[in-house]
Amino acid sequence: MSESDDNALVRRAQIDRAAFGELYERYLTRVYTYVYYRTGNVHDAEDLTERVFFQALTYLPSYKERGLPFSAWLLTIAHNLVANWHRDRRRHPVLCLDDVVSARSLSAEMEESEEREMLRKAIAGLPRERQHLLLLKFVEEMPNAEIGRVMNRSEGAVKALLHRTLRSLAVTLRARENGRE
Amino acid sequence: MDENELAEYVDRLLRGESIESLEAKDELLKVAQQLRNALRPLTPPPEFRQSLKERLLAYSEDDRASAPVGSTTCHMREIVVGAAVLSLAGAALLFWRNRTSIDTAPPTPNVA
Repeated sequence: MSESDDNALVRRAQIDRAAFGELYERYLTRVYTYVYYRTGNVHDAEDLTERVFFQALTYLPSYKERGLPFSAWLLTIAHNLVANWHRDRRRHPVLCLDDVVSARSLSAEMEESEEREMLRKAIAGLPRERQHLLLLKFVEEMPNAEIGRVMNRSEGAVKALLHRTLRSLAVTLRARENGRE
Repeated sequence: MDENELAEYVDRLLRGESIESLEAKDELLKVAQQLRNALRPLTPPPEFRQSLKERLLAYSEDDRASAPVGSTTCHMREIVVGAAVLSLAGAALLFWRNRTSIDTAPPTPNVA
């Protein structure tokens, strides 16, 4: 589905709010995935996903196209709600992403290797902004310029942050690997 | 590997291109590949999907009967801006009238 199709659907939903159901179907998985990886459990992922869509429905009439995909707007809402959620509950993301590790390792469909588990723990230790970047890049597969507009940074700054983030992960993984030996 | 090269390789990786030979050489690309494998899209439970959709549609039905929040906010903004413009216009008019009355006032007689 192209961006222009998305924009046409958004414009339709702004006038006819019943068309919001179609937008919801199109973006639910992406919002849910984002929120799940940031909170680490199904219950909070569902709760926050629900809030994202209710907020989107409420503010849709004032939504303006800024040359970014509609998903960027939704994920910004999600990012803000997750940040509030962390603040309200005074939870550290390390704990949450540790929960992700245990929740996902329970899943029969996913045989977690030690390597993956170490990776998730390493991600959990990153600052929230870097976790946000990794999700936009590796789950949303957004181009760097688009990520820059979502995160209010230049494309160059996004590349530099990605570089620093991967380097930091590599160092952490190497340390954990050495500690295991 | 600098940040531009890395960004380019990550984009190639996300497009599904094979960069295996490079991964072996570069630790950062190996991490990128691990991230690619670990961070997969997740499917929400079907009952959650259905129930949320129903609640959203019901909310939008109710909302259609009353004024939407967004338009209320817009009206409030219009009222505030309108009030500010009227206040400024009033102040300008008052200032202009004062100036005019000073200019047209008869000269004060010289007592001395």
